[in-house]
Order: sequence, then C-alpha cells, then structure tokens
Amino acid sequence: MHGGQGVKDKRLVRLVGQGKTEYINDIAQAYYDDIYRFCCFETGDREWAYDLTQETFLRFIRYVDGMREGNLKGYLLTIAMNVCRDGFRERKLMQGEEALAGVVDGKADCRQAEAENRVFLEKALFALPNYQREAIVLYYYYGFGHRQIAAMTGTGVSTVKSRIRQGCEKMRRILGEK
Amino acid sequence: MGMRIGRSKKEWEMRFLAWAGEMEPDPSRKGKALEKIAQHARDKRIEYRPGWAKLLWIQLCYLPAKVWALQALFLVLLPVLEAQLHKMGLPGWEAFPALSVCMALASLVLVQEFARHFSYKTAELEQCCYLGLSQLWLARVCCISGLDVLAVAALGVRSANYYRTGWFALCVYVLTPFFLANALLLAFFSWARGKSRAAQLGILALAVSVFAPLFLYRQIYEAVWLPVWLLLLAAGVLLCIALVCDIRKKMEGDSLCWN
Repeated sequence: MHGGQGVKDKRLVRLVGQGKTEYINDIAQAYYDDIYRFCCFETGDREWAYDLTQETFLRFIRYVDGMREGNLKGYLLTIAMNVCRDGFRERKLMQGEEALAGVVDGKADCRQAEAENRVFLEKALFALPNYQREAIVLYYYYGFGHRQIAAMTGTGVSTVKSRIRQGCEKMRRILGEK
Repeated sequence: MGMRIGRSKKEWEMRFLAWAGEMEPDPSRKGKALEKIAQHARDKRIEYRPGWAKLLWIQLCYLPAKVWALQALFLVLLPVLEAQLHKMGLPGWEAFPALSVCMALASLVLVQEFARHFSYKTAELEQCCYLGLSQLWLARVCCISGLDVLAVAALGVRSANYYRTGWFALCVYVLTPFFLANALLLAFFSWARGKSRAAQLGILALAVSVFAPLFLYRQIYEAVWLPVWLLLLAAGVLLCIALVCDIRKKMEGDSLCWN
C-alpha cells in the first residue's frame, strides 16, 4: 500500500462523507480490479467474481455512511470477503455442498491447461479452507500485516499467523514438498 | 511432478503477483459494472455521522464559561487551601479530609450545570438534537478531570516534604473521593437514566455518602488503611473507564441523522 494512495483515499472518503457521492465512482474505478482479483482468489470462478465485485461496491454504497477515514482498501476487501461468504452460503443452499465443490474443482481442471505453475498454485490454494485462503491471499498478495488481517477477519493476530503458517504447510504438502 | 514453492515471503508474493496478472477483468464488463455502481452512487443520500472525537468537541463547545471559571477556581483553591493548612501546622490526618472533600466537591460543580438542562427542557430535546446528557458529562470528565488530576499530582509532589505520608498517599487520599463521586454521578446520568427511581436515588445516595467517612472517621487516613484507599481508587477509576467506554460505544453505534 502506498502512502500517496492512502492520502488520496482519505480525501475521497471525507468528500463522500460530506455528501459528494460522485466520488464513489473514483473509488470504484481505483479498486475495481483489486476487488475482482480478490473475488477470483476467493471463489476460483471468474464469471461469478464479476457479480460479487459489483455486489461489493453496491454494499459499500449502502454502508458508506458509517465509514471512517481508515484503510479504504482494507474496508472494501472486508466487504468483498463478506460478500463472497454470503455467496458461498447461498450457493450451498441452492445446490448443496457437493455440487459447489464440483464447480470449483471443475474450474480448476479447466484452468490446468492455461499455465502449469499457476494451476499448481491454484489447486493447492483452493484445497485450503476459506479462512486459510483469505489469510494467505491478504498477506502475500495484498501485503496486509497480521494485525490488519486480524481486524479485517475479526480474529486475533496469533490466529492469523497460525492460519497463514498452516495454510502454507498444507499447500506445500499438496504440491509434494516437505 | 511437484512444483517448487519457496519458503520466503518474497517468493510467495512473486508467485501470487504472477497469477494475479492473469486475472484482468474484461474492460466492457467492468465498464458496465461501473455504470451500475455510478447509478447507485447518484441515488445515495449520505447521512453525516461524526466520529466520537468530533462529538466530544461539539459537546465541549456547549460548555458555558461558568463551568470553566468554576474549574479554574478549584485549581486555584486547592493549592491555596493546602498552603493554608500547612501554615496552621495541622498534622496530615487533620488536613487531608479538607483536601479530599475539596476535590469531591470539584466533581459536584460539574453536576449543577445539568440541572439547567433539565429545567430548560433541554433533556427532552436529546433525541432530536443529540444533546446527550451522558455525552456532555463524558466531555467534562475527559477534559476537566484531566486538569484536576494533573493539579492533584503537582500538589502531591509539592507537599511531599510537609506530610510524613508522602506524595503518593496524598494523591490517593485526594483522588479517591474525586473518582468515586465522578463515577457514581456518571452512572447516575448514563446507566441509571430510564431505570427505576429507587435505582437512581440509590446511586445518588452512594455518591453523597462518599463524603461522610472523610469527616467522621479520621483514622482512615492512617497508613494501615492505604490498601483500602487504593482498592477504592481502582474501583472508581475502573467504573469511570467502563462507563466512558459504554457511552463511547453508544455514540459510535448511533444512527441518528445529522444532516
């Protein structure tokens, strides 16, 4: 996270708080790609990720009144995380858990043809439980610290650390490493 | 064949970055989504809700000059009283009750202002104007008590040579009634509001009874009672902190419209 972006974010949040809702578009423009990628990491489904990304920003608009001048990216990712969880819950209700697992595995299989390295990583990542995957993605891709991830996921710092450590160990095991 | 996953953070980051590079959203779909977001943004009506620091500042702005003047008077009166007691050559156990009661009265000065809010029907306007009495009290406790505590600490250090009890014990004797009275009165204006009349009267009676032992039992200023004073001080401070946190939580969670 760059300092310049942080200052810009604070200004945008302050302007939106003052009722200038047109600045929400600037926020969406700036963070759409990040949120889309997060939804891809979370679900493994690029089509579904479009809907979830849009829902994330709509939910952001709904609750933007309560937003303080904190970490905007973290706030959006927390919303995205909750949107993905709700999405999974709805799908489970509609299709049953087994069907969902099939969808994710199927997508992963399709992608195997794209790039070998990425597919290996993807397969290992999607074999992890949601909470470990979230922690790993937020830590390694988005560069958040343990404390920030703890605040975003509503857990303790030590829990985040152990989720990352256990997740990485599991990924190494899946990929055949010791 | 197993893929090599590095153990360092850097290697993990590089791998994720390479993967994320392949996850570019389709520009036309992104454009459509942004259009829909813009439409919702146009329809959005923002409710302005200030943070707790801003709320405290707003409440402080409502404090009349009289409250500040009375506080200044106490800050002047306390060292004058202490100097006078020393000049009279009173032993510690004779001088301490006067100082303790002086500080307990300092907390009561804050309360008299609330009577004005009730008599001018301001209390009834709380819900629409957001002039929470508990918030007003909180602002006073945070700012004015801070000044009082600093004054008492300075006084304690200055008096260390006069009394055999030392500055620490003096601070404890002076701050305990202050914090207890403040905590109980804060409980009266926050927790007890809306509760039964008996609960309210009970808390007020407790707040008033803080003064009684200070005059009735001089032996409580003996060193053997110091642990009890410390316990009471800790209880007063903890109660104050708990009530302040509770009020702050309510302030942050409130959804009243500020427009």
